[in-house]
Amino acid sequence: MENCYIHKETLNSIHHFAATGIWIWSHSVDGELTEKQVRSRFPEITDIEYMAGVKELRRLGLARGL
Amino acid sequence: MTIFKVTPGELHELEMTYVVIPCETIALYKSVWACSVHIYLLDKPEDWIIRDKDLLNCMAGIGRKTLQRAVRELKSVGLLRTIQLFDDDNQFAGRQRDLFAHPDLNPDFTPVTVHSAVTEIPVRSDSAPTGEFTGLEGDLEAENDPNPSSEIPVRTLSRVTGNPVLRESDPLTHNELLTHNELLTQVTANADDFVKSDLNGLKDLKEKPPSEEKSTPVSKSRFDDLCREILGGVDPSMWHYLASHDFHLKDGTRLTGEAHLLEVLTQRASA
Repeated sequence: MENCYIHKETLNSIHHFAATGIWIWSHSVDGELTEKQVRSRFPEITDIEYMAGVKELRRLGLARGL
Repeated sequence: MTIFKVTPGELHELEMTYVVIPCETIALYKSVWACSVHIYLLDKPEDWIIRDKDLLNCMAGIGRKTLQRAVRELKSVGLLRTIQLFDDDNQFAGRQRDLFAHPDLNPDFTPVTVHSAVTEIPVRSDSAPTGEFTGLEGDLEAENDPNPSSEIPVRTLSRVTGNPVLRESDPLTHNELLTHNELLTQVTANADDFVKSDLNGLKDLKEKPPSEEKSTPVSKSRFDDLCREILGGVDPSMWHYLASHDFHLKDGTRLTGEAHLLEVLTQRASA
């Protein structure tokens, strides 16, 4: 079984559920990650939730250009 | 955005702790809410008590309804279960939520429902008119096969427990089909018994003697008075009442209203 290894400290530093979801899911995919892919994977996510999640990831230095 | 990952070896060299989660589990999440709740709880110690209040406090942007939705989703895919606890006196002692890293670890979770499995069984077109289930054509052929093991479909084995996992799309083996056949026969037999008992009940009802509730204890004089009133035309509606009721007299005798009425009428005519 293929596993993903999530860094504990980084996980605990994320305080937004959308950011956690996007960041965790990105561990199981390869290559480039785009906004379209994220929205396709989580179609129920709203614009506000998506922007808040990305903002949180950028603030923590976990994402750029998303 | 390019994804940069770390290997467990790199994390170990940097003396960093990490949470291990199967990629299959990540594929099961339908929403970011379920994903974040599950990961948050996986990071907790084994004796951690899952409380809604704690989850609501630690995650910004998640409300009570969203949390309930995430919990429902995790339960539906087998990553979470709620069990009822009972004390030594068999009294209800509360509920406990258990979290699993993979659905295969959840002993209460079955990915295939009986309903879908039964409805997916194809029935032969030349089945017996009695309605008896005769099974798959391929499995009937398998009975005559000298090497029946060649007909057994390949099962997906759980990577965690090593047990075979029955998926919805998997074909059924001959033995599994027989089990379904037995179940169907049992259900049909139970239904027949139910109908039979119902018919017997109706038959009993028909054969049951007339109820004693219609019998009214009256005195002989009162009965005669009643007949006189009727014959005198005091209350014509009493004709029907008298004719349709039996009267249980206080001396122990029983009079049929209709018979006594005829008798009185005969006496009157002869007079």
